[in-house]
Amino acid sequence: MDGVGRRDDGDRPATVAPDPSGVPVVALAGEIDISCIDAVEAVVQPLLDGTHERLVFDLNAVDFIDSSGLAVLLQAAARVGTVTLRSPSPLLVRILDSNGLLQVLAVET
Amino acid sequence: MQSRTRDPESRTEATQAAPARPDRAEARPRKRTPFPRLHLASLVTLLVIVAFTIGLFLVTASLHNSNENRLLKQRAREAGVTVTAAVSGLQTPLSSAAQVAQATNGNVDQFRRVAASVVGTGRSFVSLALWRMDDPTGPIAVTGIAPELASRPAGEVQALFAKAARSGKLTVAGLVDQPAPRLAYLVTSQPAQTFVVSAETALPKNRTSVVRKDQAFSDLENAIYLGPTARPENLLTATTPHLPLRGRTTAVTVPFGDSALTLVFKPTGQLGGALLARLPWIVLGAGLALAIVAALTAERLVRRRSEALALANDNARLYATQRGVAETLQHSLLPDTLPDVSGLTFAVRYLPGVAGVEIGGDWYDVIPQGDRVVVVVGDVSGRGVPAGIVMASLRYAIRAYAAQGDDPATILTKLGALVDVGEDGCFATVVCGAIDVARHEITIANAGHLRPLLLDGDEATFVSTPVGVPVGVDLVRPYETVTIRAREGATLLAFTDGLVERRGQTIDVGLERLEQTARRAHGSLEDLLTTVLRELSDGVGDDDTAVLGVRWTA
Repeated sequence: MDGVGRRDDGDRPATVAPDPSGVPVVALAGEIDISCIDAVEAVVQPLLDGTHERLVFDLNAVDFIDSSGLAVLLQAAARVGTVTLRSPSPLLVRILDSNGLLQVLAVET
Repeated sequence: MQSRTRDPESRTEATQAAPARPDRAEARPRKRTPFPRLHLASLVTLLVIVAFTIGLFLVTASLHNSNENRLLKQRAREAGVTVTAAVSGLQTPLSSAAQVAQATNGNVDQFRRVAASVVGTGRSFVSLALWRMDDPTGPIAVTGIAPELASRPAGEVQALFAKAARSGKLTVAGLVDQPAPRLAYLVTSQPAQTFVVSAETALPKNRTSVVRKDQAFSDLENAIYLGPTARPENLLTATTPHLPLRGRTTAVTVPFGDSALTLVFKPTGQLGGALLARLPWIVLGAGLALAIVAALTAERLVRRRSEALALANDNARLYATQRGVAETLQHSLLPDTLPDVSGLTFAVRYLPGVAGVEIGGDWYDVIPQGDRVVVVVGDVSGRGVPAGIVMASLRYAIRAYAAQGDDPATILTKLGALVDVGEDGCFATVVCGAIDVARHEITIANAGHLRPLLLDGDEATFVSTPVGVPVGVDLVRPYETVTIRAREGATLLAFTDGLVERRGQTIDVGLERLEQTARRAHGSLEDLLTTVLRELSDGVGDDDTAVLGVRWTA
């Protein structure tokens, strides 16, 4: 019935851990789409409460991102001073580009 | 001029879903029988175990039966041995008395001395008498009561004497009832046969004796008959007045002088013990209980499974219904008809994604306004009612701004005031074009959307619109427009990412396929859209797809 974004239950779409300088790094994995967006938001939303000035999304393990996933990135970028997208695949960069988002989201390869 | 609005297929789906729902709703309440009926599997389980139990019951019962018979025969043989011993206990003193008489040549005193030890109440005999073989008229000595034999005719007594002499064994003289039941018999002295000793043994009153519990054969009812068969008139003694014995009985014949004794036995209870007797019933009870438990367990499992199945069906039905509702809603948010504009043909398609149980955020619009026509294709991020609301508000805002005569860049800029991804958590990509009908030109602005494809003859090119940020994201720089000339016969295709985006491959693959397909397609604008959707959607799209086609005609 749930035809999209089928993933192993053990493999969580989003985890967060601070990097050495204390900046939260949200690691996303798999296909970030409407089917798992609630789980992603549950991880990201608490980081948007104004206590963080920087936020990093590690997209290394992301295979695909749909508009609801992009909305999470954009919302974070709108609320947090600096948002960096780390290691997106070329496929992801193309998606960001086609949505005109490379102008507003900093990509770090 | 064409004014087709919707993809005929999805329209059919949407309209079919609505009237179908009440039927489904009526079919919903499951029939509830007042008495819960067993499913076949449970019934089979029940019957198999019951049949097995009955079989086991019969086997156990038959085992018990044959065991009882075997035990009865064994007990009867033991009783027969005991009776044989008792018979020889009668015979021995009798023979001794006869021998003494022979040895003493009929010394009466000697005979009486021997007789005194065996005659009397509680002893073997009630009467012992010594006769001369040649004088059947009366005994020469009597100890105890007078022998009944003495009252018989001399001829009869003579015949009995002769019989006893011939056999040389204890000879039965018969049963005597008066005044008390007795058994009379006699034996001749050996080897000379000069004397005869007659004896009588008392039989119980009514020939029925009481068996005490502690006696050796208290677990058996018995009836002892004189002679080789159980003839009622020959009954010597029995433990019960209810004769003949019926039911489980066995008979043993033991020799008794020149005659025999027939012993008939019947167990008073269960020889093999109460447990063995109850075993078949225990087996039956336990088996039936097991059958019921097993059937109920099977029933519960079957029910649980059928409930799970019903639930799955419900879910499928619910999904279909939701999908139908989503499509209906989606269509209500999209234009019903496309305007007739001289010199232009429009065609649109909308396909809900595979996951389309909720409203998608894709939309298209064609807004005629004076000497121009504003065309829009947009896509709100996310799904569901929130996305639908944003989509509707953007669509109607564009209509308002178009009515004010705003150019596409201004329209997109103004839309930015309606959505804020930081607040709302959603954004929209929009491509907006203003067609100058008279000049065969279109001015396009693009907010993060995929570039439209322009078909002109065999040429197919994506219009190089500068891609601005999506609506809802703070502007980095103002939206820019690009204006292109479209010759007669040229076609512009604007679409949402659902048409070209496939997981695991870059969007350029889909764009390339679209370009190739569109370049090869000929015929009407409707045909073009049908071909493009058939070739590109290939049934695997997760996302919604909206396509708007504009063709410049004469």
